Amino acid sequence: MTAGPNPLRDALGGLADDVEDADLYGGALRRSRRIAHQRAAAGTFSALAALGLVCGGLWSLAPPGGHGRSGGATVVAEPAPITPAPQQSASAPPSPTPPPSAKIHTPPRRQPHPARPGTATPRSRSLADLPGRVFYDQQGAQPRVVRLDSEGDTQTVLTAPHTTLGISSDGNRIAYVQNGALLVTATDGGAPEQPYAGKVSGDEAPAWSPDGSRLLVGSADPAVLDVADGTLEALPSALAGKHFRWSGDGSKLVYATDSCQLKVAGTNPDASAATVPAVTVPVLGDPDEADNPSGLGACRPVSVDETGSRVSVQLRPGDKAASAAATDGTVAMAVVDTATGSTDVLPIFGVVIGAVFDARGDLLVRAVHEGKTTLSLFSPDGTLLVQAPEPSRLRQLELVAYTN
Amino acid sequence: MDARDAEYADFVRSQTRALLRSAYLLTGDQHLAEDLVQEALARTHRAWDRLEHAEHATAYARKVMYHAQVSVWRRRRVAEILPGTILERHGGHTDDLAEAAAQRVMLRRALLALSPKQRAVVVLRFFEDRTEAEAAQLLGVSVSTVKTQCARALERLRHLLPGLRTLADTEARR
Repeated sequence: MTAGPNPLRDALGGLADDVEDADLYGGALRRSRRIAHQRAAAGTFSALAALGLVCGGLWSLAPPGGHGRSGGATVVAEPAPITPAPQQSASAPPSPTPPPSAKIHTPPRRQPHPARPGTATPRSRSLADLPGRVFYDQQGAQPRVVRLDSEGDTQTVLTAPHTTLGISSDGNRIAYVQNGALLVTATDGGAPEQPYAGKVSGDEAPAWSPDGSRLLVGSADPAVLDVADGTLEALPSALAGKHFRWSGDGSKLVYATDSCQLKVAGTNPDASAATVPAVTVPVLGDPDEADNPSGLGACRPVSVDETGSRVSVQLRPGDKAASAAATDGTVAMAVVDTATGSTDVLPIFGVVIGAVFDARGDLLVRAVHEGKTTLSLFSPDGTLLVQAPEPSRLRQLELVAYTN
Repeated sequence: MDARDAEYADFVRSQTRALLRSAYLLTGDQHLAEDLVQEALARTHRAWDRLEHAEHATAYARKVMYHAQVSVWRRRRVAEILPGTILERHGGHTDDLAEAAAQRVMLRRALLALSPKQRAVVVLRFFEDRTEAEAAQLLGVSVSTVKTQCARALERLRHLLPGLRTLADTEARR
Protein backbone atom coordinates (compact mmCIF):
# COMPACT_ATOMS: atom_id res chain seq x y z
CA MET A 1 0.00 0.00 0.00
CA THR A 2 1.13 3.50 -0.59
CA ALA A 3 2.25 5.75 2.20
CA GLY A 4 1.53 9.43 2.58
CA PRO A 5 -1.75 11.35 2.77
CA ASN A 6 -4.75 9.12 2.58
CA PRO A 7 -8.06 10.89 3.19
CA LEU A 8 -10.18 7.77 3.50
CA ARG A 9 -7.73 6.15 5.88
CA ASP A 10 -7.64 9.32 7.95
CA ALA A 11 -11.43 9.47 8.03
CA LEU A 12 -11.67 5.83 9.06
CA GLY A 13 -8.96 6.35 11.65
CA GLY A 14 -10.87 9.27 13.09
CA LEU A 15 -14.01 7.19 13.32
CA ALA A 16 -12.13 4.31 14.91
CA ASP A 17 -10.83 6.70 17.56
CA ASP A 18 -14.38 6.87 18.90
CA VAL A 19 -14.21 3.34 20.23
CA GLU A 20 -13.55 3.13 23.93
CA ASP A 21 -11.05 0.79 25.51
CA ALA A 22 -12.43 -2.32 27.13
CA ASP A 23 -11.00 -5.13 29.22
CA LEU A 24 -12.08 -8.25 27.37
CA TYR A 25 -9.76 -10.77 29.00
CA GLY A 26 -12.25 -12.20 31.47
CA GLY A 27 -15.10 -12.22 28.96
CA ALA A 28 -12.95 -13.94 26.36
CA LEU A 29 -11.99 -16.68 28.81
CA ARG A 30 -15.61 -17.24 29.81
CA ARG A 31 -16.67 -17.35 26.17
CA SER A 32 -13.82 -19.77 25.43
CA ARG A 33 -15.08 -22.11 28.14
CA ARG A 34 -18.63 -21.90 26.78
CA ILE A 35 -17.36 -22.80 23.32
CA ALA A 36 -15.59 -25.81 24.80
CA HIS A 37 -18.74 -26.90 26.60
CA GLN A 38 -20.85 -26.46 23.47
CA ARG A 39 -18.42 -28.53 21.46
CA ALA A 40 -18.36 -31.23 24.09
CA ALA A 41 -22.15 -31.27 24.19
CA ALA A 42 -22.34 -31.42 20.41
CA GLY A 43 -19.86 -34.29 20.42
CA THR A 44 -21.97 -36.18 22.93
CA PHE A 45 -25.05 -35.54 20.83
CA SER A 46 -23.29 -36.77 17.70
CA ALA A 47 -22.27 -39.94 19.47
CA LEU A 48 -25.82 -40.50 20.67
CA ALA A 49 -27.14 -39.83 17.19
CA ALA A 50 -24.69 -42.31 15.70
CA LEU A 51 -25.61 -44.80 18.40
CA GLY A 52 -29.26 -44.26 17.55
CA LEU A 53 -28.53 -45.01 13.94
CA VAL A 54 -26.59 -48.13 14.81
CA CYS A 55 -29.32 -49.32 17.17
CA GLY A 56 -31.91 -48.56 14.54
CA GLY A 57 -29.96 -50.59 12.03
CA LEU A 58 -29.58 -53.52 14.39
CA TRP A 59 -33.22 -53.35 15.28
CA SER A 60 -34.26 -53.41 11.67
CA LEU A 61 -32.16 -56.57 11.20
CA ALA A 62 -33.98 -58.33 14.00
CA PRO A 63 -36.12 -61.23 12.77
CA PRO A 64 -39.84 -60.78 12.65
CA GLY A 65 -41.49 -61.91 15.83
CA GLY A 66 -38.79 -61.12 18.42
CA HIS A 67 -39.71 -57.68 19.62
CA GLY A 68 -42.48 -58.06 17.17
CA ARG A 69 -43.50 -56.15 14.13
CA SER A 70 -45.65 -54.15 16.40
CA GLY A 71 -42.44 -52.44 17.42
CA GLY A 72 -41.69 -51.57 13.85
CA ALA A 73 -43.24 -48.19 14.07
CA THR A 74 -41.07 -47.43 17.04
CA VAL A 75 -38.01 -48.59 15.14
CA VAL A 76 -38.75 -46.23 12.34
CA ALA A 77 -39.07 -43.44 14.82
CA GLU A 78 -35.85 -44.24 16.68
CA PRO A 79 -33.40 -42.66 14.25
CA ALA A 80 -35.25 -39.40 14.69
CA PRO A 81 -32.43 -37.89 16.82
CA ILE A 82 -30.45 -37.73 13.61
CA THR A 83 -32.70 -35.11 12.17
CA PRO A 84 -31.50 -32.13 14.24
CA ALA A 85 -28.04 -32.67 12.82
CA PRO A 86 -28.19 -29.63 10.52
CA GLN A 87 -27.82 -27.38 13.55
CA GLN A 88 -24.84 -29.26 14.87
CA SER A 89 -23.01 -29.63 11.59
CA ALA A 90 -21.59 -26.15 12.07
CA SER A 91 -20.44 -26.65 15.62
CA ALA A 92 -19.58 -30.30 16.03
CA PRO A 93 -16.05 -30.83 17.27
CA PRO A 94 -13.39 -32.49 15.18
CA SER A 95 -13.75 -36.21 15.48
CA PRO A 96 -12.27 -39.14 13.64
CA THR A 97 -15.75 -40.24 12.69
CA PRO A 98 -17.98 -37.35 11.69
CA PRO A 99 -21.70 -37.66 12.32
CA PRO A 100 -23.41 -39.49 9.50
CA SER A 101 -25.40 -36.46 8.50
CA ALA A 102 -22.52 -34.00 8.42
CA LYS A 103 -21.89 -34.27 4.71
CA ILE A 104 -25.54 -34.18 3.83
CA HIS A 105 -25.95 -30.79 5.41
CA THR A 106 -22.71 -29.25 4.30
CA PRO A 107 -23.33 -25.58 3.56
CA PRO A 108 -22.38 -24.10 0.20
CA ARG A 109 -18.66 -23.74 -0.18
CA ARG A 110 -16.56 -21.21 -1.97
CA GLN A 111 -13.80 -21.97 -4.40
CA PRO A 112 -11.10 -23.63 -2.33
CA HIS A 113 -8.19 -22.10 -4.07
CA PRO A 114 -8.87 -18.54 -5.11
CA ALA A 115 -6.60 -18.35 -8.10
CA ARG A 116 -6.46 -14.72 -9.12
CA PRO A 117 -5.81 -13.16 -12.49
CA GLY A 118 -2.14 -13.10 -13.33
CA THR A 119 -0.59 -10.06 -11.74
CA ALA A 120 2.95 -11.30 -11.37
CA THR A 121 5.39 -11.19 -14.24
CA PRO A 122 7.64 -14.24 -14.41
CA ARG A 123 11.33 -13.72 -14.74
CA SER A 124 11.30 -16.31 -17.49
CA ARG A 125 8.69 -17.88 -19.71
CA SER A 126 10.98 -20.65 -20.86
CA LEU A 127 10.90 -24.17 -19.51
CA ALA A 128 14.64 -24.28 -20.09
CA ASP A 129 15.04 -21.92 -17.13
CA LEU A 130 13.35 -24.32 -14.75
CA PRO A 131 16.31 -25.16 -12.52
CA GLY A 132 15.06 -28.45 -11.11
CA ARG A 133 13.55 -31.69 -12.33
CA VAL A 134 9.85 -32.50 -12.37
CA PHE A 135 8.52 -36.00 -11.84
CA TYR A 136 5.23 -37.34 -13.13
CA ASP A 137 3.45 -40.61 -12.52
CA GLN A 138 1.26 -42.58 -14.85
CA GLN A 139 -0.84 -45.46 -13.61
CA GLY A 140 -2.94 -47.86 -15.62
CA ALA A 141 -1.98 -50.42 -18.20
CA GLN A 142 1.40 -48.83 -18.88
CA PRO A 143 2.65 -47.56 -15.54
CA ARG A 144 5.68 -45.32 -15.67
CA VAL A 145 7.40 -42.47 -13.95
CA VAL A 146 8.58 -39.67 -16.19
CA ARG A 147 11.15 -37.00 -15.41
CA LEU A 148 11.00 -33.58 -17.06
CA ASP A 149 14.49 -32.14 -17.10
CA SER A 150 15.44 -28.51 -17.15
CA GLU A 151 16.14 -28.67 -20.87
CA GLY A 152 12.49 -29.57 -21.44
CA ASP A 153 13.30 -33.16 -22.29
CA THR A 154 11.36 -36.02 -20.79
CA GLN A 155 12.75 -39.34 -19.76
CA THR A 156 11.03 -42.42 -18.40
CA VAL A 157 12.79 -43.40 -15.18
CA LEU A 158 10.57 -46.25 -13.99
CA THR A 159 8.38 -48.70 -15.86
CA ALA A 160 7.75 -51.21 -13.06
CA PRO A 161 4.14 -51.56 -11.85
CA HIS A 162 3.59 -49.67 -8.62
CA THR A 163 0.72 -48.59 -6.46
CA THR A 164 2.43 -45.55 -5.00
CA LEU A 165 5.84 -43.93 -4.93
CA GLY A 166 8.08 -41.28 -3.45
CA ILE A 167 10.95 -39.34 -5.02
CA SER A 168 14.00 -38.51 -2.91
CA SER A 169 14.67 -34.81 -2.40
CA ASP A 170 17.76 -34.93 -4.62
CA GLY A 171 15.73 -36.60 -7.37
CA ASN A 172 18.13 -39.51 -7.64
CA ARG A 173 16.06 -42.31 -6.13
CA ILE A 174 12.53 -43.62 -6.28
CA ALA A 175 10.89 -45.66 -3.57
CA TYR A 176 7.79 -47.47 -4.71
CA VAL A 177 5.37 -50.08 -3.48
CA GLN A 178 4.73 -53.15 -5.61
CA ASN A 179 2.39 -55.84 -4.33
CA GLY A 180 3.06 -54.74 -0.76
CA ALA A 181 6.84 -54.79 -1.20
CA LEU A 182 8.89 -51.63 -0.78
CA LEU A 183 11.46 -51.21 -3.54
CA VAL A 184 14.07 -48.54 -4.15
CA THR A 185 15.77 -47.80 -7.44
CA ALA A 186 17.94 -45.07 -8.87
CA THR A 187 16.34 -42.72 -11.37
CA ASP A 188 19.26 -43.18 -13.73
CA GLY A 189 18.76 -46.91 -13.97
CA GLY A 190 19.86 -50.02 -12.12
CA ALA A 191 18.17 -52.94 -10.44
CA PRO A 192 15.72 -52.21 -7.64
CA GLU A 193 16.58 -53.12 -4.06
CA GLN A 194 14.23 -54.13 -1.29
CA PRO A 195 15.40 -52.35 1.88
CA TYR A 196 12.66 -53.87 4.04
CA ALA A 197 11.52 -57.46 3.88
CA GLY A 198 8.08 -56.92 5.37
CA LYS A 199 4.89 -55.68 3.80
CA VAL A 200 4.07 -51.99 3.55
CA SER A 201 0.86 -50.22 2.70
CA GLY A 202 0.13 -49.32 -0.88
CA ASP A 203 -2.10 -46.51 0.30
CA GLU A 204 0.78 -44.55 1.80
CA ALA A 205 3.34 -43.06 -0.54
CA PRO A 206 6.84 -43.64 0.88
CA ALA A 207 8.21 -40.30 2.09
CA TRP A 208 11.95 -39.74 1.94
CA SER A 209 13.70 -37.91 4.73
CA PRO A 210 15.54 -34.86 3.38
CA ASP A 211 18.93 -36.54 3.68
CA GLY A 212 17.69 -39.65 1.91
CA SER A 213 18.65 -41.99 4.74
CA ARG A 214 15.15 -42.84 5.93
CA LEU A 215 11.73 -43.58 4.52
CA LEU A 216 8.45 -42.99 6.24
CA VAL A 217 6.16 -45.83 5.21
CA GLY A 218 2.83 -47.24 6.14
CA SER A 219 3.38 -50.61 7.71
CA ALA A 220 1.04 -51.95 10.39
CA ASP A 221 1.32 -48.37 11.62
CA PRO A 222 3.24 -45.44 10.21
CA ALA A 223 6.91 -46.15 10.73
CA VAL A 224 10.35 -44.88 9.82
CA LEU A 225 12.65 -47.20 7.90
CA ASP A 226 16.41 -46.85 7.95
CA VAL A 227 17.18 -47.50 4.30
CA ALA A 228 20.75 -48.63 4.97
CA ASP A 229 20.11 -51.30 7.61
CA GLY A 230 16.43 -52.04 7.07
CA THR A 231 15.36 -51.37 10.66
CA LEU A 232 11.84 -50.16 11.12
CA GLU A 233 10.78 -47.91 14.00
CA ALA A 234 7.13 -47.12 14.57
CA LEU A 235 6.10 -43.53 15.11
CA PRO A 236 4.79 -42.64 18.55
CA SER A 237 1.22 -43.78 18.90
CA ALA A 238 0.16 -40.21 19.63
CA LEU A 239 0.86 -39.39 16.00
CA ALA A 240 -2.31 -41.00 14.72
CA GLY A 241 -2.61 -40.07 11.10
CA LYS A 242 -1.61 -40.78 7.56
CA HIS A 243 0.25 -39.36 4.60
CA PHE A 244 3.24 -38.17 6.61
CA ARG A 245 5.54 -35.71 4.86
CA TRP A 246 8.87 -34.27 5.97
CA SER A 247 9.70 -30.58 5.81
CA GLY A 248 12.70 -29.75 3.65
CA ASP A 249 14.97 -29.22 6.66
CA GLY A 250 13.70 -32.37 8.35
CA SER A 251 12.52 -30.49 11.44
CA LYS A 252 8.80 -31.12 10.98
CA LEU A 253 6.41 -33.85 9.99
CA VAL A 254 3.06 -32.89 8.51
CA TYR A 255 0.27 -35.41 8.29
CA ALA A 256 -3.50 -35.70 7.95
CA THR A 257 -6.13 -37.11 10.26
CA ASP A 258 -9.20 -39.09 9.32
CA SER A 259 -11.29 -35.94 9.72
CA CYS A 260 -9.13 -34.14 7.16
CA GLN A 261 -7.31 -31.97 9.62
CA LEU A 262 -3.61 -31.31 9.25
CA LYS A 263 -1.15 -31.77 12.07
CA VAL A 264 2.45 -30.67 12.43
CA ALA A 265 4.89 -32.51 14.66
CA GLY A 266 8.45 -31.58 15.47
CA THR A 267 11.13 -34.17 14.88
CA ASN A 268 14.05 -35.21 16.98
CA PRO A 269 17.23 -34.87 14.93
CA ASP A 270 18.87 -37.61 16.96
CA ALA A 271 16.14 -40.15 16.38
CA SER A 272 14.07 -41.40 13.55
CA ALA A 273 10.79 -40.84 15.32
CA ALA A 274 8.90 -37.61 15.65
CA THR A 275 8.48 -35.86 18.93
CA VAL A 276 5.06 -35.18 20.33
CA PRO A 277 2.70 -33.50 20.78
CA ALA A 278 1.68 -32.47 17.32
CA VAL A 279 -0.20 -29.24 16.81
CA THR A 280 -3.28 -28.95 14.63
CA VAL A 281 -3.31 -26.55 11.72
CA PRO A 282 -6.24 -24.20 12.34
CA VAL A 283 -9.30 -23.94 10.11
CA LEU A 284 -8.83 -27.00 7.88
CA GLY A 285 -11.17 -29.79 8.80
CA ASP A 286 -12.71 -27.67 11.54
CA PRO A 287 -16.45 -28.40 11.52
CA ASP A 288 -17.22 -25.08 13.19
CA GLU A 289 -18.55 -22.77 10.48
CA ALA A 290 -17.41 -19.69 12.36
CA ASP A 291 -13.81 -20.85 12.21
CA ASN A 292 -14.03 -22.57 8.86
CA PRO A 293 -16.80 -20.85 6.89
CA SER A 294 -15.66 -22.43 3.64
CA GLY A 295 -15.69 -25.92 5.09
CA LEU A 296 -12.19 -26.65 3.86
CA GLY A 297 -10.56 -29.93 4.69
CA ALA A 298 -7.19 -31.37 3.71
CA CYS A 299 -7.05 -35.12 3.63
CA ARG A 300 -3.68 -35.57 1.98
CA PRO A 301 -0.61 -33.39 2.39
CA VAL A 302 1.52 -33.66 -0.73
CA SER A 303 4.71 -31.81 0.13
CA VAL A 304 6.08 -29.44 2.71
CA ASP A 305 8.30 -26.40 2.32
CA GLU A 306 11.72 -26.09 3.91
CA THR A 307 10.59 -25.18 7.42
CA GLY A 308 7.13 -26.69 7.69
CA SER A 309 5.37 -23.34 7.51
CA ARG A 310 3.58 -24.12 4.24
CA VAL A 311 2.24 -27.33 2.85
CA SER A 312 0.58 -28.27 -0.41
CA VAL A 313 -2.50 -30.38 0.10
CA GLN A 314 -5.22 -32.15 -1.78
CA LEU A 315 -8.55 -30.72 -0.75
CA ARG A 316 -11.16 -32.98 0.75
CA PRO A 317 -12.87 -35.03 -1.96
CA GLY A 318 -16.59 -34.51 -2.08
CA ASP A 319 -16.51 -30.94 -0.85
CA LYS A 320 -18.29 -28.69 -3.26
CA ALA A 321 -15.25 -26.48 -3.13
CA ALA A 322 -12.99 -29.23 -4.32
CA SER A 323 -15.49 -30.46 -6.85
CA ALA A 324 -15.97 -26.99 -8.28
CA ALA A 325 -12.27 -26.46 -8.69
CA ALA A 326 -11.44 -29.87 -10.00
CA THR A 327 -11.91 -30.62 -13.65
CA ASP A 328 -11.52 -33.73 -15.75
CA GLY A 329 -11.29 -35.90 -12.69
CA THR A 330 -8.30 -34.04 -11.29
CA VAL A 331 -7.97 -33.28 -7.60
CA ALA A 332 -8.11 -29.69 -6.41
CA MET A 333 -5.00 -28.51 -4.61
CA ALA A 334 -4.16 -25.69 -2.25
CA VAL A 335 -1.13 -24.33 -0.46
CA VAL A 336 -1.78 -23.83 3.23
CA ASP A 337 -0.05 -21.77 5.90
CA THR A 338 0.36 -24.23 8.77
CA ALA A 339 0.30 -21.48 11.41
CA THR A 340 -3.01 -19.91 10.45
CA GLY A 341 -4.68 -22.41 8.12
CA SER A 342 -4.93 -19.75 5.42
CA THR A 343 -4.75 -20.84 1.81
CA ASP A 344 -2.24 -19.02 -0.35
CA VAL A 345 -3.49 -16.84 -3.13
CA LEU A 346 -1.26 -17.55 -6.09
CA PRO A 347 -0.98 -15.07 -8.95
CA ILE A 348 -1.78 -17.53 -11.69
CA PHE A 349 -4.64 -18.25 -14.03
CA GLY A 350 -6.79 -21.33 -13.89
CA VAL A 351 -7.36 -24.28 -11.64
CA VAL A 352 -4.45 -25.59 -9.61
CA ILE A 353 -4.14 -29.32 -10.19
CA GLY A 354 -0.68 -29.82 -8.70
CA ALA A 355 1.57 -28.06 -6.24
CA VAL A 356 4.83 -29.43 -4.88
CA PHE A 357 7.64 -27.93 -2.83
CA ASP A 358 11.26 -28.85 -3.22
CA ALA A 359 13.44 -29.18 -0.15
CA ARG A 360 14.51 -25.52 -0.35
CA GLY A 361 10.95 -24.27 -0.35
CA ASP A 362 10.57 -23.42 -4.04
CA LEU A 363 7.00 -24.14 -5.07
CA LEU A 364 6.09 -25.63 -8.44
CA VAL A 365 2.45 -25.12 -9.36
CA ARG A 366 0.66 -26.89 -12.16
CA ALA A 367 -2.50 -25.18 -13.36
CA VAL A 368 -5.00 -25.65 -16.15
CA HIS A 369 -6.57 -22.69 -17.89
CA GLU A 370 -8.68 -22.93 -21.04
CA GLY A 371 -7.38 -26.39 -21.77
CA LYS A 372 -3.73 -25.45 -21.45
CA THR A 373 -1.47 -26.59 -18.65
CA THR A 374 1.26 -24.35 -17.29
CA LEU A 375 4.03 -24.84 -14.78
CA SER A 376 4.87 -21.92 -12.48
CA LEU A 377 7.83 -21.90 -10.14
CA PHE A 378 7.77 -19.60 -7.11
CA SER A 379 10.66 -18.88 -4.79
CA PRO A 380 10.00 -19.07 -1.02
CA ASP A 381 9.41 -15.30 -0.93
CA GLY A 382 6.72 -15.62 -3.62
CA THR A 383 8.73 -14.39 -6.59
CA LEU A 384 7.49 -15.96 -9.81
CA LEU A 385 10.69 -17.32 -11.28
CA VAL A 386 9.45 -19.30 -14.26
CA GLN A 387 6.08 -19.72 -15.91
CA ALA A 388 5.93 -21.86 -19.01
CA PRO A 389 3.59 -24.21 -20.87
CA GLU A 390 3.91 -27.83 -19.88
CA PRO A 391 4.68 -30.22 -22.73
CA SER A 392 1.38 -31.66 -23.92
CA ARG A 393 2.74 -35.22 -23.75
CA LEU A 394 2.63 -34.96 -19.95
CA ARG A 395 -0.99 -33.92 -19.81
CA GLN A 396 -2.45 -37.22 -18.65
CA LEU A 397 0.23 -37.81 -16.02
CA GLU A 398 0.12 -36.83 -12.37
CA LEU A 399 2.65 -34.38 -10.94
CA VAL A 400 4.36 -36.07 -8.01
CA ALA A 401 7.56 -34.18 -7.19
CA TYR A 402 9.88 -31.31 -7.99
CA THR A 403 13.52 -31.66 -7.00
CA ASN A 404 16.39 -29.26 -7.23
CA MET B 1 -1.55 -18.11 36.34
CA ASP B 2 0.77 -20.40 34.40
CA ALA B 3 3.05 -19.32 31.55
CA ARG B 4 0.48 -20.19 28.91
CA ASP B 5 -2.20 -18.08 30.58
CA ALA B 6 0.25 -15.25 31.08
CA GLU B 7 1.17 -15.26 27.42
CA TYR B 8 -2.46 -15.21 26.44
CA ALA B 9 -3.17 -12.37 28.87
CA ASP B 10 -0.29 -10.38 27.37
CA PHE B 11 -1.64 -11.07 23.92
CA VAL B 12 -5.11 -9.85 24.87
CA ARG B 13 -3.74 -6.72 26.49
CA SER B 14 -1.57 -5.87 23.52
CA GLN B 15 -4.10 -6.59 20.79
CA THR B 16 -7.48 -5.59 22.16
CA ARG B 17 -7.26 -1.91 21.28
CA ALA B 18 -6.24 -2.53 17.66
CA LEU B 19 -8.89 -5.21 17.23
CA LEU B 20 -11.54 -2.98 18.77
CA ARG B 21 -10.75 -0.16 16.36
CA SER B 22 -11.27 -2.41 13.35
CA ALA B 23 -14.30 -4.06 14.94
CA TYR B 24 -15.87 -0.67 15.59
CA LEU B 25 -15.63 0.15 11.89
CA LEU B 26 -17.11 -3.23 11.05
CA THR B 27 -20.05 -2.97 13.45
CA GLY B 28 -20.50 0.74 14.09
CA ASP B 29 -21.20 0.14 17.75
CA GLN B 30 -19.11 -0.07 20.90
CA HIS B 31 -20.92 -3.06 22.36
CA LEU B 32 -21.12 -5.00 19.12
CA ALA B 33 -17.44 -4.31 18.57
CA GLU B 34 -16.65 -5.66 22.03
CA ASP B 35 -18.77 -8.75 21.31
CA LEU B 36 -16.96 -9.33 18.06
CA VAL B 37 -13.49 -8.92 19.52
CA GLN B 38 -14.37 -11.04 22.52
CA GLU B 39 -15.52 -13.81 20.18
CA ALA B 40 -12.28 -13.58 18.20
CA LEU B 41 -10.19 -13.60 21.38
CA ALA B 42 -12.12 -16.55 22.78
CA ARG B 43 -11.61 -18.62 19.65
CA THR B 44 -7.97 -17.64 19.64
CA HIS B 45 -7.81 -18.91 23.22
CA ARG B 46 -9.27 -22.23 22.08
CA ALA B 47 -6.54 -22.42 19.42
CA TRP B 48 -3.78 -21.01 21.63
CA ASP B 49 -1.81 -24.25 21.93
CA ARG B 50 -1.62 -24.50 18.15
CA LEU B 51 -0.38 -20.96 17.61
CA GLU B 52 3.33 -21.00 18.25
CA HIS B 53 4.13 -17.33 17.81
CA ALA B 54 2.43 -14.08 18.74
CA GLU B 55 2.15 -13.02 15.10
CA HIS B 56 0.35 -16.26 14.34
CA ALA B 57 -2.10 -15.55 17.13
CA THR B 58 -2.65 -12.03 15.86
CA ALA B 59 -3.27 -13.23 12.32
CA TYR B 60 -5.58 -15.93 13.61
CA ALA B 61 -7.59 -13.53 15.78
CA ARG B 62 -8.04 -11.12 12.89
CA LYS B 63 -9.05 -13.88 10.55
CA VAL B 64 -11.64 -15.16 13.03
CA MET B 65 -12.93 -11.64 13.61
CA TYR B 66 -13.45 -10.92 9.93
CA HIS B 67 -14.96 -14.31 9.28
CA ALA B 68 -17.32 -13.88 12.20
CA GLN B 69 -18.34 -10.46 10.96
CA VAL B 70 -19.27 -11.64 7.48
CA SER B 71 -20.77 -14.95 8.54
CA VAL B 72 -24.49 -15.40 8.54
CA TRP B 73 -25.12 -15.07 12.22
CA ARG B 74 -23.50 -11.67 12.35
CA ARG B 75 -25.00 -10.15 9.28
CA ARG B 76 -27.75 -8.23 10.95
CA ARG B 77 -25.67 -7.31 13.95
CA VAL B 78 -24.82 -3.75 13.06
CA ALA B 79 -25.62 -0.61 14.95
CA GLU B 80 -28.64 1.57 14.40
CA ILE B 81 -27.36 5.08 13.94
CA LEU B 82 -28.99 7.64 16.12
CA PRO B 83 -28.41 11.17 14.85
CA GLY B 84 -26.27 13.10 17.20
CA THR B 85 -24.89 10.14 19.05
CA ILE B 86 -21.32 11.13 18.49
CA LEU B 87 -22.11 14.84 18.66
CA GLU B 88 -23.37 14.29 22.15
CA ARG B 89 -20.29 12.33 23.07
CA HIS B 90 -18.15 15.29 22.03
CA GLY B 91 -20.38 17.89 23.63
CA GLY B 92 -21.82 19.16 20.37
CA HIS B 93 -21.01 22.77 21.03
CA THR B 94 -17.73 23.52 19.27
CA ASP B 95 -18.24 24.25 15.59
CA ASP B 96 -15.11 22.50 14.26
CA LEU B 97 -15.52 19.57 16.59
CA ALA B 98 -19.19 19.36 15.76
CA GLU B 99 -18.42 19.41 12.05
CA ALA B 100 -15.82 16.67 12.43
CA ALA B 101 -18.18 14.63 14.56
CA ALA B 102 -20.98 15.09 12.04
CA GLN B 103 -18.70 13.83 9.31
CA ARG B 104 -17.91 10.79 11.39
CA VAL B 105 -21.60 10.11 11.86
CA MET B 106 -22.10 10.28 8.11
CA LEU B 107 -19.14 8.04 7.45
CA ARG B 108 -20.34 5.57 10.04
CA ARG B 109 -23.80 5.55 8.54
CA ALA B 110 -22.36 5.08 5.06
CA LEU B 111 -20.18 2.19 6.22
CA LEU B 112 -23.18 0.46 7.73
CA ALA B 113 -25.03 0.83 4.46
CA LEU B 114 -22.43 -1.41 2.83
CA SER B 115 -22.71 -5.17 2.83
CA PRO B 116 -20.65 -6.92 5.54
CA LYS B 117 -18.14 -8.11 2.98
CA GLN B 118 -17.83 -4.69 1.35
CA ARG B 119 -17.33 -3.12 4.77
CA ALA B 120 -14.70 -5.68 5.64
CA VAL B 121 -12.85 -5.01 2.40
CA VAL B 122 -12.92 -1.24 2.96
CA VAL B 123 -11.61 -1.62 6.51
CA LEU B 124 -8.88 -4.01 5.45
CA ARG B 125 -7.76 -2.01 2.43
CA PHE B 126 -8.13 1.57 3.64
CA PHE B 127 -7.89 1.35 7.43
CA GLU B 128 -5.49 -1.54 7.97
CA ASP B 129 -3.61 -0.79 4.72
CA ARG B 130 -3.72 -4.40 3.59
CA THR B 131 -2.93 -5.34 0.02
CA GLU B 132 -5.60 -6.94 -2.09
CA ALA B 133 -3.87 -10.29 -1.72
CA GLU B 134 -3.68 -9.94 2.07
CA ALA B 135 -7.33 -8.93 2.27
CA ALA B 136 -8.28 -11.88 0.10
CA GLN B 137 -6.33 -14.23 2.30
CA LEU B 138 -7.88 -12.92 5.50
CA LEU B 139 -11.40 -13.09 4.13
CA GLY B 140 -10.87 -16.40 2.38
CA VAL B 141 -11.95 -15.08 -1.00
CA SER B 142 -10.21 -14.49 -4.31
CA VAL B 143 -8.39 -11.30 -5.16
CA SER B 144 -10.90 -10.62 -7.90
CA THR B 145 -13.67 -10.73 -5.29
CA VAL B 146 -11.79 -8.21 -3.19
CA LYS B 147 -11.42 -5.95 -6.22
CA THR B 148 -15.08 -6.25 -7.09
CA GLN B 149 -16.29 -5.66 -3.55
CA CYS B 150 -13.92 -2.75 -3.15
CA ALA B 151 -15.07 -1.08 -6.36
CA ARG B 152 -18.71 -1.48 -5.39
CA ALA B 153 -18.05 -0.22 -1.89
CA LEU B 154 -16.28 2.89 -3.13
CA GLU B 155 -19.05 3.55 -5.62
CA ARG B 156 -21.61 3.32 -2.85
CA LEU B 157 -19.56 5.53 -0.55
CA ARG B 158 -19.31 8.13 -3.30
CA HIS B 159 -23.07 8.09 -3.61
CA LEU B 160 -23.69 8.25 0.14
CA LEU B 161 -20.95 10.74 0.90
CA PRO B 162 -20.82 13.27 -1.93
CA GLY B 163 -18.40 15.32 0.12
CA LEU B 164 -15.97 12.43 0.13
CA ARG B 165 -16.00 12.09 -3.64
CA THR B 166 -12.45 13.34 -3.90
CA LEU B 167 -11.02 10.87 -1.43
CA ALA B 168 -12.95 7.99 -2.94
CA ASP B 169 -11.68 8.90 -6.38
CA THR B 170 -8.20 9.05 -4.95
CA GLU B 171 -8.56 5.62 -3.42
CA ALA B 172 -9.99 4.15 -6.59
CA ARG B 173 -6.84 5.05 -8.48
CA ARG B 174 -4.54 3.39 -5.96
